Amino acid sequence: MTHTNSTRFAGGSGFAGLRERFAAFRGGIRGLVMAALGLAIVLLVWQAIVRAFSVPVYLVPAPTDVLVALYNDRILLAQNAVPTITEAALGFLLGNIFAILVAISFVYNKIVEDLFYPVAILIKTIPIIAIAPVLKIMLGNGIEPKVLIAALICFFPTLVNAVQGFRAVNPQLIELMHVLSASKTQVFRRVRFYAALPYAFAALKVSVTMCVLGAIVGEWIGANTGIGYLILQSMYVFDTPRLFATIIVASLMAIAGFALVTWVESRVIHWDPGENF
Amino acid sequence: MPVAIDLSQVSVTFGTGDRSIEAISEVTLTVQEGEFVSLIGHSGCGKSTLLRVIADIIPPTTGHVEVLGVAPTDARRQRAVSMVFQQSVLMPWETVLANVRMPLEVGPQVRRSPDAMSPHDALRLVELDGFENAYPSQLSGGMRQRVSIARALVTRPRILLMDEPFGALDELVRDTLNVEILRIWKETGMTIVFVTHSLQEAVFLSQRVAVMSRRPSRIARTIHVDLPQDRQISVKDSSALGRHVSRLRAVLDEG
Repeated sequence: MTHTNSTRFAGGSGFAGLRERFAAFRGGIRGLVMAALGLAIVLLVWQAIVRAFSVPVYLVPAPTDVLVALYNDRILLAQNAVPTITEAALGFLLGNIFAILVAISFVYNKIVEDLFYPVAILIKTIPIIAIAPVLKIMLGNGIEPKVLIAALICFFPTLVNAVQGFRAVNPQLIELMHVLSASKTQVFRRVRFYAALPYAFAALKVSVTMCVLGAIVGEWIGANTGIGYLILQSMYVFDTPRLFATIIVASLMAIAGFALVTWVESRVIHWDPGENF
Repeated sequence: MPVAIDLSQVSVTFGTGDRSIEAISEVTLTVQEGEFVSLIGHSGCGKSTLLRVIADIIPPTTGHVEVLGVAPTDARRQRAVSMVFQQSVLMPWETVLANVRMPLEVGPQVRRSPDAMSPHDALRLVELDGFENAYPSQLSGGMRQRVSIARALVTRPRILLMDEPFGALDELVRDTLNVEILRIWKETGMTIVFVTHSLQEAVFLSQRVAVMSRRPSRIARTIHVDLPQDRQISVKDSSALGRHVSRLRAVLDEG
């Protein structure tokens, strides 16, 4: 991350930058090839064991069985992915926006922080699975409890990181703003906001994968559509290849979310966050 | 000449009770407008604290401070005082131009005074025109410090406080910037208070050098530098400068 940033903005320095970028590119390609190779070996061994010992398909399907299920059930999988993606995305937005607003209030007002940080930690310690039934009773069978569970999962990591980020400002820069008689809001808009961005993105990368988990947990406790629902259905009818295919779809959602946040981060943070002049 | 900075019996104590530390003790110092005064002393003797009292970052525990005839807070609000730190303290997410323009965009309404310099002029003054759209990470340490000086000048302050501004730079860059800051001082007619560890630098730049003692931290002595007004870098190697440095060293050793 840091690497690509520094190369992009050293653009003016020409050859050295280019060579560095090429080396990074080659390193990236090598990493990808090795990872794909490792995955291929695992799948091959898996396939070989399942076939060699004639493991029944309802117990452990071979990778090829899962592939077939992925293809045959593609419409069913896509139809059920839509509600889960919607719940996860809404939960992601809700949880993170709320977390950042709370973090801002903490940084503005120490008393608010002293009052409510412990409450936030308390909520965090309750297992999300234990909260889910409560939310179902309160909010019913619709999309709301799923969104809320996804939001809850996102909330805490972003809160902690944003609070830390808003404070991760060079103290001399704060002194400078004081000498300039800048208001609290100006310090926030000009300095703290940017200082917090790298921290916030680190949290967003965690919560974007967690919100998919939240949506699935929400569907488990009451839904008739969605990836979580499909997982349970496939389990009840012992359609193990479809179960695996559904898991792969859930995983792809998380990967896509992660890639999206990483891409946005590379657009937004164009400086090297490690720099402190 | 009118008085720019008037400190009388200023003490600053950090903490309370047994744990309290007296950072500076009964410092009395008067700086005339347009003067270039350096503060030197052993590390931890309170030079930076003194500068922060003038800049209204730290309030004095006891004593009286006047900056341009008013309280430090009022001087700060009037944008009469600028500060340059040891680090350039630039915002890495902004371009050079945006960094220099920043003081004009924050703070009270006084900023819209017609006195303010254009950021381009400020950059020209530190000879960095052409680098407006660069980012700090693309500049060398010396260039970054020039940007931070331009940012300090853009409000046309009457007093410039510099806290070891060239302490982190190598000697060649430091020499160049020493000559530059003298040129800027002459062009603008500002009052400059300059904290440094380097006796040579202090003598080369200043009209007066105030030596701070170790404990209690007060001004042990003030020495006038009678070197020619027009100082080239070769003056750094002159025997006249060497004599001043030895005198300062003697005062430092006493304290």
